[in-house]
Amino acid sequence: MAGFPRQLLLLLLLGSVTPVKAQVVPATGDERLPQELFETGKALYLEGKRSDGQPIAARVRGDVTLQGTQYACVTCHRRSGIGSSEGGDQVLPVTATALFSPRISSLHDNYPNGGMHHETRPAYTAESLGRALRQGIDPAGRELSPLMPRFVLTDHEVKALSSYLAHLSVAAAPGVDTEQIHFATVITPGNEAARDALLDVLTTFFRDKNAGTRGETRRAQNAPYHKAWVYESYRRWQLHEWTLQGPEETWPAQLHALYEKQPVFAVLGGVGLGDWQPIHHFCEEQQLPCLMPQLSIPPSNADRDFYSLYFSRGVELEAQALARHLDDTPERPLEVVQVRDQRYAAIAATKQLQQTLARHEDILLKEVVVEPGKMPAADFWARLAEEYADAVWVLWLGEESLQKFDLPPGTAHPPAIYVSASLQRDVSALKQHPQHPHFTLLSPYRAADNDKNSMRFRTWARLRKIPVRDLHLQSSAFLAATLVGETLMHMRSNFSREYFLERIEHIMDNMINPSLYPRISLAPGQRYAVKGCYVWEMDKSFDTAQWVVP
Amino acid sequence: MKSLVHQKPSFLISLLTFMGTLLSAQAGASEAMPLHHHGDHQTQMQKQEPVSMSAIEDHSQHMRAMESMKNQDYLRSVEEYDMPSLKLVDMNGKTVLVDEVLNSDQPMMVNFIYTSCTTICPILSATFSSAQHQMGEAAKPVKWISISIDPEYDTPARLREYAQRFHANDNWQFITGELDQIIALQKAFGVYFGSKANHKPVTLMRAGRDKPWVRLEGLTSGAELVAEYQQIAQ
Repeated sequence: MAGFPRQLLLLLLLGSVTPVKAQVVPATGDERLPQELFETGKALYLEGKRSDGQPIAARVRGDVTLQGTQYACVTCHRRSGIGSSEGGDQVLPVTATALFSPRISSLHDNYPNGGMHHETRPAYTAESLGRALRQGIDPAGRELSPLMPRFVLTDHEVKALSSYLAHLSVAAAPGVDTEQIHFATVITPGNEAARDALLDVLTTFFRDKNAGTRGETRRAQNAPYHKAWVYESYRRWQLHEWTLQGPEETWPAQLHALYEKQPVFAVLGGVGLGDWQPIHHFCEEQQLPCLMPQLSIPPSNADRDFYSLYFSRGVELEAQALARHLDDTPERPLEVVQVRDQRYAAIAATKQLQQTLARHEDILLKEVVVEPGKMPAADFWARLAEEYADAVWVLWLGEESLQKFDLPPGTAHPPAIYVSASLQRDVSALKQHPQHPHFTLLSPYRAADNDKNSMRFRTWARLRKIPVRDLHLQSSAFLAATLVGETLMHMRSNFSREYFLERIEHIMDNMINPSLYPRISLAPGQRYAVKGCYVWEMDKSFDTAQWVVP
Repeated sequence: MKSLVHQKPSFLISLLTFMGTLLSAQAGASEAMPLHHHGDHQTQMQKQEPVSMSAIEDHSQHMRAMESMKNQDYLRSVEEYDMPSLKLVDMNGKTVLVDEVLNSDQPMMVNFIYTSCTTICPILSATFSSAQHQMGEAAKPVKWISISIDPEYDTPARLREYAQRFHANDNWQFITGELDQIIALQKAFGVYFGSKANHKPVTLMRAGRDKPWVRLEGLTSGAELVAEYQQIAQ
């Protein structure tokens, strides 16, 4: 195993190295860095674009040429610059503090006769950075990992990169001080019941978390060097409730005011049945992580952005999975009727299914709109059943509208009636619906009451006397809060919001999952953790449900 | 910003011990050696021939192993794998059987990637490109296969987009499938490491059906990959 011990050695050495507390010296030596230089460096780092607009070029392992924006520094060293790892391979940090300070190995003290000297190195300068980037030689004269590409760069570009790196992750993120780390949870109007269920979980989780202190703050003051870094990263968690009111146009101003009053490190959870775009946009603008709110329809552009993570695409995922499911049906239906109410998510779902099914020219698509607050005429559904007897029905209806759905006795049922889980406040209530044996449920999460995975959450809640009012919402919020705890533990004192998200992308697959989502998985650039959807004929056991990945 | 990555010293010590175990296990694998004492490698490793002691004291194979490690960053082994019966999906969305993909009588190169991987996959894919370029015409009869280990995200459409990024020709196929099938496939080839973020660079190659697989673990250069291929193709 020629490669393996090397990688382990790297891991070992990386683990032992502590950057010295030193003032960050911009490597170019300029008093004020010209904006142009910084921007050129930024384009190289983030987009892999050279000053002439061409993509960056490099070589690895001698003869493997790399060309293209996918080899930008950000790909491996990430937005935070703190680096990453894959398998046993470590990508070293290139933040201002890490790069432009000398590095000494604290293990050197422990192993005076050992070989730990060679991980120490002087601080990088623009000159030695150039050598590292072009020839793969570090300031101590050692060769860098074979994973590090050897780039083609001009002196000006090296200087530009150096100027960008001198500013990378230097400023502490807002929302963290020496004692506390602040989080907010966002509640949009019309979600009062969900609010209580959510806050029960989050406030209790925060209370537990803070009660679990082992006197870290006090210990940090007198800790030996090998313990100080553990204790110094301790912060008390503080939760803020950001309840929005009134029409959507006023939300950005409300969010700004709340943020102004108390900046938070991240938004954790939240509920919204309508459009979440204003909150998504606010978080992107503020470079504020927004984790896993419970929504019917998360914004569909999250994977082009960076700061918001969602459980799934909600109703859009359901629509895409349904289209895929219909494709795979032995006798694909030729007529599909979408019955929707007027809420935002229902409109979006209808549109999504329409777009996805447009690939089949032979499918006839119909759309029926149910007026809000208006009871359909007594014979409305019977007439619909008569008109569309052979069509597949898709009911994009929230529970208020769905409750009014009824087919009089003796009416022939259509071949299939699909209903959406993401539009319901409580999926388990569907089982009370008189027509439910005729329903096929589209759901990105398990709709089972006695779900085994959620046992962890249910036990936690029972011990803390929290009523389980909405298992799906609450167990998901519990997962999100646990995720924050795990991530902060990995981050230690690196309170970078970008690093926070990068760590989540990395550890998500390994999380113990107490939610009803069967699989949660992320990776760099992925912004929706759940990729598939159950299709469950409700007259059968949930075990027969099919998992469909569109 | 303060310290970046830390480990507890006690963890480091156990890791050191573990590394020692690995190093010795590795030497043992390449050349069958009776159990022996590793107490004084510093001097013993320099010996080419045991002077007066029995072969038990000969540690020169460690030196040879370390020399070989200097020159190549990957590990080569010859393996037999039982081909499981699984259903996969190709980059055009067509369901294919493992037998069709991996058990054809063509020479083939296989690696495991995922499209949102930031660290090793772009390099693995660029290495395939580089080797194909260096082989020229000789690359054409070879079947090049990249299997996604993140199949729910890597839809056929995403794989096609990824293939374009690496200017993949028709003889370079990208494969996805249902998660449990892909996990079973990784297990069959000994490349399943749980989470995809733990995945390691592995390239498999063989000259044709019923021929043994050559497994390369670690990053190779394009020329190294070509040389390894030429060795099995002879």
